[in-house]
Amino acid sequence: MPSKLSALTLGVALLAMAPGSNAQDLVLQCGKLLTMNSADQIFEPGEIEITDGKIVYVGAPRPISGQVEVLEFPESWAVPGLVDLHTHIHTGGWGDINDMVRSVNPGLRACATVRPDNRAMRLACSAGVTTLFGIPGSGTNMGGFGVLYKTKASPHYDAAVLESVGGLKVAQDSNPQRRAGTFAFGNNRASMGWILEDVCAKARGAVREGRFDFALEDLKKVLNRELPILIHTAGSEGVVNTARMWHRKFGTRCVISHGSFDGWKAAPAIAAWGVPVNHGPRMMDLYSSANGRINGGGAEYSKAGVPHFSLNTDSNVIPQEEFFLQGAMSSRLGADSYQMLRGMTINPAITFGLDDRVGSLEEGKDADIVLYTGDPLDPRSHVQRVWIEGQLEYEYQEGKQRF
Amino acid sequence: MKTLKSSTTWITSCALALYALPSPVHASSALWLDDDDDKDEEEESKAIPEEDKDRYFLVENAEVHTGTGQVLRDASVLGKNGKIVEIGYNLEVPGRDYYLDVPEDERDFRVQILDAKGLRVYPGLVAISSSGLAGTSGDFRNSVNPFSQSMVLGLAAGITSTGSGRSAIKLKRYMSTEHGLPYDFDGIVLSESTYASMSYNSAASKRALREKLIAARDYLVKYRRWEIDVKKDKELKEPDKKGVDPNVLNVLRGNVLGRFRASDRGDLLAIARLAQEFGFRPVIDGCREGWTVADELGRAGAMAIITARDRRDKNETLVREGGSSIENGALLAQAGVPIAIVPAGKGVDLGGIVGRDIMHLPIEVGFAIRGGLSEELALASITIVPARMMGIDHRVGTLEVGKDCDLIVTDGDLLHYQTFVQYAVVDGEQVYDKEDEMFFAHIRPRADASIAPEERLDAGENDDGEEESVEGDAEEEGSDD
Repeated sequence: MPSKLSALTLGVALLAMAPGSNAQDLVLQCGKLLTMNSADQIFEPGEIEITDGKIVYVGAPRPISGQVEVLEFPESWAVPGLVDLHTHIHTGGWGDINDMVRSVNPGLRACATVRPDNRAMRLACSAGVTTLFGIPGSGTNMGGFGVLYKTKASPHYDAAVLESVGGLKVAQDSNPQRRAGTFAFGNNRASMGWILEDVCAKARGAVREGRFDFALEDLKKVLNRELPILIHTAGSEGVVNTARMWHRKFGTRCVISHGSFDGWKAAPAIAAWGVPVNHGPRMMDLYSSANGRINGGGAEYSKAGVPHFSLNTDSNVIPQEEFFLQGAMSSRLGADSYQMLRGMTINPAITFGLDDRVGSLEEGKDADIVLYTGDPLDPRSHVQRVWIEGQLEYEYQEGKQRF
Repeated sequence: MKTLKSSTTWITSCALALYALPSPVHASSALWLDDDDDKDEEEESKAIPEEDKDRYFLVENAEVHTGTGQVLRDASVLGKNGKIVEIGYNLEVPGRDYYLDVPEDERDFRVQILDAKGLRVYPGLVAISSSGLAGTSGDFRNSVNPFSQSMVLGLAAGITSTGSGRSAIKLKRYMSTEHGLPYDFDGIVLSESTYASMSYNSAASKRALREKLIAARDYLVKYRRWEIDVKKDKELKEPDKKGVDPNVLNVLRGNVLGRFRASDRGDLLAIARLAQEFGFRPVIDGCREGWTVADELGRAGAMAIITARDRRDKNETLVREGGSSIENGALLAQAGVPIAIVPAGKGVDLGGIVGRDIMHLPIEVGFAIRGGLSEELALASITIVPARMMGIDHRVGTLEVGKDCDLIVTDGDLLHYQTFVQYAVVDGEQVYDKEDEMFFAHIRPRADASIAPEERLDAGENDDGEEESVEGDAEEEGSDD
C-alpha cells in the first residue's frame, strides 16, 4: 500500500480494501478511545497504531508522520473487541453442543465441533464480538472442555482458534437435573455434588500417583490451576455450593456462570471469597424478591464487589450479536454502564487468563478494535469497522449493514 | 359500591404536586354517600359530587415532545375531563390561578398539577399488539382486572394504549375508584374492530380473497349506481348483499384497514399488486423481506408492522436478496411505507431475560435506528403510526388539542436504555408513578434523577468525558441527545 495518503483519499482507499485481506499497519484516530486498561484511561480524541496485528501505540493523537496509513474517524468511539465466555455458536447452530456420553464427560472437547466463520460468528463479528469461549451445553454435570477462538472471517481452524482446550465447562444446577432418564444416578443437587467430587477425586488421585488417565488428563490441568472452569450454576444456594466446592475445596480457577434467579443474594459471600461471576443470559429477578423489586443481577453483583464481574449471552439464548444489550440492560437496572463494558471486555479476559492478548486496547496486545458511531451499549449506535489482529473483518456499508 | 374520598387526598397523594390545599372537610363529603336528595337540601351543602366535577390535569416545566415533530422546552400540557385542551407555556389552571376564593369542597372541579422540571413528556406509547396487559381479548369489559400486575408493568413501559386481539384498549387502572367514581369498564375499550384479517398466503387463500374482493367490488359498483338511481325511483331496492364478505366490503369502503401476515418477498409483492388492483391500503404484519421490495410496497400505499431484531438468514440458494435486515425499517420508511415496531415478545416476560418483551418498545426501536431509521420516525412507530393502523389516531398517538390526555413523563430521552417512565397519565389521570410502585422505585430514585440525573455513557456530542461520568459527577441538566 502507498504510505502517504491524504485524509480525503483514505475512504476511497479503504473501500477498495475488502475484509479478509492481510493485516495492515495503520494508525487509527478517533473521537473517543476507551482503552479499558487498569487505569481506565480514556482518550478524547485518541489514536491507536497497529503493526503486524499488534497494538504499538495507544494514546492522544500524534502528528502524522507520513510513514503509515492514517484513518480518521473524529466522531467515532473505539473500544476493544468484546469477549464472551459463555457461548454456543461455535458449531454454527444448536446442534452438537450436548454430547451426553456419561454423567461427567471430562474427556470431551468442543474444539472438535468448531465451524470457523459460520454465519453466527460473522454476525457476532459485525457486532464487535471478537473473542469467544465456545463451550459444551449443560446437559450433563461435566460437558467437557470449551474452545477459545476469534470471530475472524477465516475458514481455517488454526487461524481462528486461540486455545483448542480453553477451559472446562461444569453444570451444577438446573439443566443437568433433567437428565432425560439416561442415567441411573440421582438427579438432585446432592447427587450432582457427589458425581462431580467423585470425578475430581479420581483426577486428583491420578495426579498424586503420577498416573496417565486418558479421560482425565485435561481435568488434571484444571485441578492444577493450569486451566480455568466456567460453571453453570444458579440460585443463591447453587452459587454458594459451587463456590464452596470449586473455589474453597478444590482451589480451582473457577468462574461462576449464570448466577441467575436469586443468585445475586449470594453476591456478598462470593465477593468475600473472591470468586468471579459471569452473569447472564437472565439479568433480572423478580420471583425471589420479597419486596416486589425487580433486581438487576449486574447491579447487585457489581455493587457487592465481585471480582472481575462479567456478562454473557449464552448464545443463542441471547443472539451473540446482542451481547452489548446485556450490558445496556444491566445498566438500565441499576449498574454502571462503564463497569458493564468492562464486564464485556477486560474482566472476562482476566478471568480466563487472556488479558495478555485481548480485552483492552494496550500496547503489545492483539489489535482487536471495534469502531462504533457512539456509546457501544446503545442499540442506536452501530459498528463501523471491526479489526481482529489488525485485519479488517467488518466494514459498515449502507444497504448492506449486517447488524 | 362507591367509596367517596375527598379530592384533597388525591391531590396531595401526588408526589410532585406543587399544589396543596387545606385539610379536607370530611363532614360534607360524608353526606355524598347518602343518596337521599332531600337530606342534602336540608343540610344546604354546596358540595358537588365527584362525577359532576371538571377534572383538570396539568403537567408543566417539561420538555414536551408532542409526537408531531415539535419539541417545546419548559412547556405545559393541560387536560380537562380526559382531553387535551391546551399545550403551551405558562398555562393557567383553576384553583391555582383563579377560583382561589372558592372553598375546596365547593369547587366544581378538581386539579392535579405535576411539576416535571428536568423531565420529558411524550405521548403515551401505542403497542400495535400485545398480550396479557389487560383482560382477555374478546371481552375486555368483563375480564379486565384494573389492579393487575401486568397493567402496572405495561404502564411502567410507557404503554397507554395497545392492540390486543382485534381490539384496541387503554391501560386504565383503579384510578376512578380511588376518587369515588366507579371503574370505567367501558373506557378501557378504544375500538373493538381495529382491523380486518386478510388471509393471503396459500394458493387457496389467495384465490378465496380475490373472489371476495371481486364480489365486494361488484357490489360497490351496483351500490353506487343504486345511490344515483334511487333519487329518481324511490321504490328501487338496495342491491343484494348476499355473498358479499362484510369484512372485505369494509376494507374496500375504507372503514377499516385490512391486515395481512406476510414476510416473504413473493407474498409481499402479491399483496402490493392486489392492493393496487382493488384500491385499498394493506397493513402487512411481519414484512421481513419488505426491504427488498420497499419501493413496490410504498407505491401500493402499504403499511408495515415489523420487529427490528427479526432474524432470518437469506436463502442462499436464491440469487435475489432476502432474509431479514437490520435496515428493514429504515428502507421501508425511505420508500414511504409507514412502519409500526413491536418486539418479538408480545407479553411481559419476568423470567429474567431483559430487553426482548413488550416492556421494551423503545429498545426495539433503538435497533431500527441502528439500521438507519430516524429518531422521529422511530418515535412515530410506537405512537401515531400504530394508532393510525388501528383507526384510533383521532384519540391517541400524539399530544394534540382535542385528543385524549394520555402521556408519559420520563427522566430523559425516551430512546435511551437507562430512561425510565416516571409517570403515566391516561385520560387525564395519573395512573402510574415509578416511586409508588415496587418494581423500579429503587433504581435511580427520582430524588436524584430530577436534580442530578444519573451520569450516562451517552452517544451525544456534548459529552463531558468518560472518566468524569464513571466517577458520577453531578450534572446540572438532563442529558441532551
